[in-house]
Amino acid sequence: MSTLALTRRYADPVTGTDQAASAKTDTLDRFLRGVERRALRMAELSVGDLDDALELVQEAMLGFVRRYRDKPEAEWPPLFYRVLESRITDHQRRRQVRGRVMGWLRGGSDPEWGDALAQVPDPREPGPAQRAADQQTRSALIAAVGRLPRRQRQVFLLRVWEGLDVADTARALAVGEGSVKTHLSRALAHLREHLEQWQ
Amino acid sequence: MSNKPPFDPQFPERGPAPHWAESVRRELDGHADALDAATRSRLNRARQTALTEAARPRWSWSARPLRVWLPAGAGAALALALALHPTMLDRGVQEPPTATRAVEDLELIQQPESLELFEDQEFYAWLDESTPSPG
Repeated sequence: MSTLALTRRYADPVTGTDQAASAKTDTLDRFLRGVERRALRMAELSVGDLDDALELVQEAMLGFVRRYRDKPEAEWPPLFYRVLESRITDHQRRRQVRGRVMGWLRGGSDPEWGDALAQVPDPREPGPAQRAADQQTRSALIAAVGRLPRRQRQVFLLRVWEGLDVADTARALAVGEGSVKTHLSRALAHLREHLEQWQ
Repeated sequence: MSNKPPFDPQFPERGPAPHWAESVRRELDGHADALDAATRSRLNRARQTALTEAARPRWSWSARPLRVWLPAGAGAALALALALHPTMLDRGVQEPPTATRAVEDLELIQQPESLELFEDQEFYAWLDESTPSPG
């Protein structure tokens, strides 16, 4: 066997592996590039802060790549959003705990601070000044989506915006398909009501 | 921004498609596209960080290279040697096991002359004191 043939024989598998890894990275890049902005806005609607949302999306990207990059590409969207929702839930739990601790430190016996959870700022209630700015920078439609109860908002965004089907939405949110249909129906009813009032 | 197919006319699962839902979707797309340059840049960095992670090989026992196994094996051998070392050092002055001591005691008790010796300890002590030492 010639030196060239030997070189090819042992080099080709390595090159093939490199090419496969490169192709996988390209595919992942396309997928993440395609979902990142919507994911960021979804996270922002949930936590009410763009910086926090950016961190959550970054954590979700890392978690998704570590755990699910070898899954079939068709399964990536629900898996990615499942990781993101998990991160958002963790973030909100941490914030609730912080709120409880802060409430306790300020004096739990004070009726004004009696309900620590009630004192946790609502990320979707930005205050009068911010609300006025929101009216200019964000359409009333998006504001209405942001005011939906959390589960309804998640289902609406994944079904209507992200375009996941019922099964994938259920998988992303770790709920039953019946729950997805129920929450979507309620979300649509809320939004319709809001739009009728707005118009 | 998104490359999704046109809105499903059968959506939602029951009843006619809400025409306004498509408007909401367009608004949301516009909202996502309206990110400022700094935010886009941070998103890009986040994506690149994740892709760097993707380029790393997955961890597996069989995939561990020799440069990992060799130091690990050497470390384990050293730990074993350190654990055994005191035992090996003290082997010369080691106390006999309890079972061995019990057998020896039993043998001692079974010898009648030895028992008599122990019973006359006071006599031998007196003899020792009263006998002048040589020299």
